[in-house]
Amino acid sequence: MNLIEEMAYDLDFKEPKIIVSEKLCVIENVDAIVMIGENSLTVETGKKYVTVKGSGFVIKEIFEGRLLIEGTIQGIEFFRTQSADKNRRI
Amino acid sequence: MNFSAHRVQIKIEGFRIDRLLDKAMKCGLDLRSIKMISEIEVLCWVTPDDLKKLKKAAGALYKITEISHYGVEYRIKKFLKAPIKIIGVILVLALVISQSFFVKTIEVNGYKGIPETELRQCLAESGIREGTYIPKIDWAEAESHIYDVFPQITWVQLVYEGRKIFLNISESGNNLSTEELLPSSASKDRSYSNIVANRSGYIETISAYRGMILAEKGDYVEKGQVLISGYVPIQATVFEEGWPTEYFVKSKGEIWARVPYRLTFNQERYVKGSGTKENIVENKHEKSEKQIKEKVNQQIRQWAKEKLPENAQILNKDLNFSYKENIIEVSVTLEVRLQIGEEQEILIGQENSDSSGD
Repeated sequence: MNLIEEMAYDLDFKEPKIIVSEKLCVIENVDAIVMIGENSLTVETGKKYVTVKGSGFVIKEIFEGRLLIEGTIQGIEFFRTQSADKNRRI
Repeated sequence: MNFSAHRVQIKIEGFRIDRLLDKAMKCGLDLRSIKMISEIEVLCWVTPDDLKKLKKAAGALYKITEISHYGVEYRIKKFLKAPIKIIGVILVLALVISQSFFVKTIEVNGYKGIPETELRQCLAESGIREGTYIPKIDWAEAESHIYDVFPQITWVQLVYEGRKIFLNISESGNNLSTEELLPSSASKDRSYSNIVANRSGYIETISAYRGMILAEKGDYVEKGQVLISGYVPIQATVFEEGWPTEYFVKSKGEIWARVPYRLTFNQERYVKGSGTKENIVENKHEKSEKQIKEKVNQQIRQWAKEKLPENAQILNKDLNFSYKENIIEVSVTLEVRLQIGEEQEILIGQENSDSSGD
């Protein structure tokens, strides 16, 4: 990734930016909270929905578009906001 | 920072709580530690200001219950609302602080010949005892007083640590020369002394502040007799050679005694009457007993004023009249209560040198 690509990534506020480990997940550029359940949490960023799956979730911080989640992270899913024909899973 | 100052734990109940949380996020409310208990229950932390906004945003759709409050600001406010607690804390603090200014114990170190009780008493005379207010102690005066009372002390350290006072002293050895023990002309106060009787009489009370009492209540003492001795023999409490067998002090005490006085007063036997000049002899008449007594009492008062100390009390008085040609001789026996103690310097070694000289 060159410098221009890096800057473009940093300045793109529509794409979800996620830092994740086994027990912690930080999601930035959150526009809205779509759904909160006991085992999953879905948020909307500019272009995608992000669903974090796991258990024992505690949202430690929810402030200025930044979501900090503690708990056992089992998976993260991305969904397009406009159409659901394409998704990606990690 | 707001969270540290004051935070509230709340429970939100209702359907689709995620919508309320989304609304809160969009309003910029700071919610923390959001924990899903069930589909319709959420626990979270919020500042009091944000709680108001959240309640407004929740409207009637959600039930928000305050569970607990935490934070320094909250604790202080709560504390300030309870005056009894404040008074209690102030009282405890005042008690602790004030107690720290008073002497709790006195420790005396370094003494050999001088008993500890004497040193403690000496300190007490300077106002240093258990319970004394430490800032009011005059340390220099106390040290000076110790030097004055015990000339054999060569070094004094009077210090305090917390509420404990330490008196550290160093005594000179037992084999002091007479020159060392005798007062120099420059420091006459630093001498040893006895208290002797300055009059003969019967001891009524005797109390020694320093020194050893040599007479008892009821004893008849002669003038010059030692009543409180500045030479105090001691028994060593440790087996060590060269341990002192006596110590000297400047005696101090109070001795009251009943002292008899025998006085004789003369007065004229006759007084002039109110007759004419031609009949002078016939007009003289003898004094009545009342007149004699009045005159004698006047003479006694005059004598007491001139001869007796101020604190003397005349306890008993016995008058005996003997009529002579033109005069009446009145023998008076008085019993007077007065202090008879008088300081007498101890001259160490004087007696021995005299006897050897003989």
